[in-house]
Amino acid sequence: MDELILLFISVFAGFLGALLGLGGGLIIVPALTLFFHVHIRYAIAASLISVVATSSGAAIGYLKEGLTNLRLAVVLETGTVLGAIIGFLISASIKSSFLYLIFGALLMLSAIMMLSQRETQEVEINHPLSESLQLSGVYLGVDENLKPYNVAQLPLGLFLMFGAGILSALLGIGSGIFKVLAMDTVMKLPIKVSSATSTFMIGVTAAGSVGAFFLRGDVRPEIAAPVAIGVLVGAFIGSLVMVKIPASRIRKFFVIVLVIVSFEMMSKGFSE
Amino acid sequence: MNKVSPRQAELKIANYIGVFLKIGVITAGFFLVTGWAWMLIDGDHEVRALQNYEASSLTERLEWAIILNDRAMIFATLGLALLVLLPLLRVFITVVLFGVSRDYKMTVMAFFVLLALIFSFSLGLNA
Repeated sequence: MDELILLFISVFAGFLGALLGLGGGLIIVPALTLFFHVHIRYAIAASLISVVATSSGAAIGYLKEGLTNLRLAVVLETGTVLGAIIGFLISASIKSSFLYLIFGALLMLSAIMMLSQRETQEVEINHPLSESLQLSGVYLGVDENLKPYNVAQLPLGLFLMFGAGILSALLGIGSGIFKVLAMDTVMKLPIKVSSATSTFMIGVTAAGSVGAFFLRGDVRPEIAAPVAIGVLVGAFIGSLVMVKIPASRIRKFFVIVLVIVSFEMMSKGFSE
Repeated sequence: MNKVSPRQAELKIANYIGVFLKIGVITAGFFLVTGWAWMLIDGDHEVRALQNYEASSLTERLEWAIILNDRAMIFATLGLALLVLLPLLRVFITVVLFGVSRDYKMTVMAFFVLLALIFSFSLGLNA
């Protein structure tokens, strides 16, 4: 019975993850620790597996649609993987309550930032580095027209990806939230491109630490298997739905998720 | 022969990666589903048994699984291993495909990511 509940929760996490460009780790870790009382180290490792599963499952659809900015993903992955390695190395010495508090506060700040974003995004000026690496792209809008976009503030974006990578390894998440925020708010990409590119990237971010956790024996099939299966199914369904939903609705939904998770994280930080 | 635009090359590469991920996910999924279903049937791998942390490396637990003939565990672990390797292999393919399309800046960047990932995996061997 426990296993089936876990499977169901994982399908939901995968669906939400694919929809918003997250890895579902924000649902999986609390579900495993609070509901099933699994030790946090096993929960984090299993959650990272779910991130790889979401990323791999959902990316298939987005790559086909041409939404994923592959070149930008490769550039930003240099930052996230380095961050993930650092995160893995320091994971043993950081107090988790401190992390939860910082994380919760950051999410609340991000929700506020996202709410104050304008609805329609004009095409920003390409950062010189983005120009040299040919990172700008086009995507198919809801009105079926190809819309161009550029990539602003690339160095700052890269730095934020490094931070996201550290948090990924420390908290067992894909840091999709920070990737989407960085791409949407800082680099001025369209929200659907941010979401699709984030989904593509979180697998590599998670891989930056999950390989080590796996070889260390922290990935337990009893929980990681149902989590991976559920998330794969949910992510696949989510990716089919995402391309049909208007951008503004995705952003609003994202803000609600941010606020809920922010309260969750901060209360966990205060209670530990 | 017409020179392919970077956008077209990128879309082609994206397509190949998409196909690779599809095959990888289905293969990993097969082992995961089979292994997990088997574990459920065996009935002795409980979620609630993981409340306390016990350090034991992957090799140790695989050795035990072989000794105890726990094929369900081996199958599930194989599925997980395939899943864990997918991003690594995906980056490797990206290196090759960008190299073939002579996009050397991207090839170097992707290769850097690949090296970093391989290094990160090796950290788990010594921990």
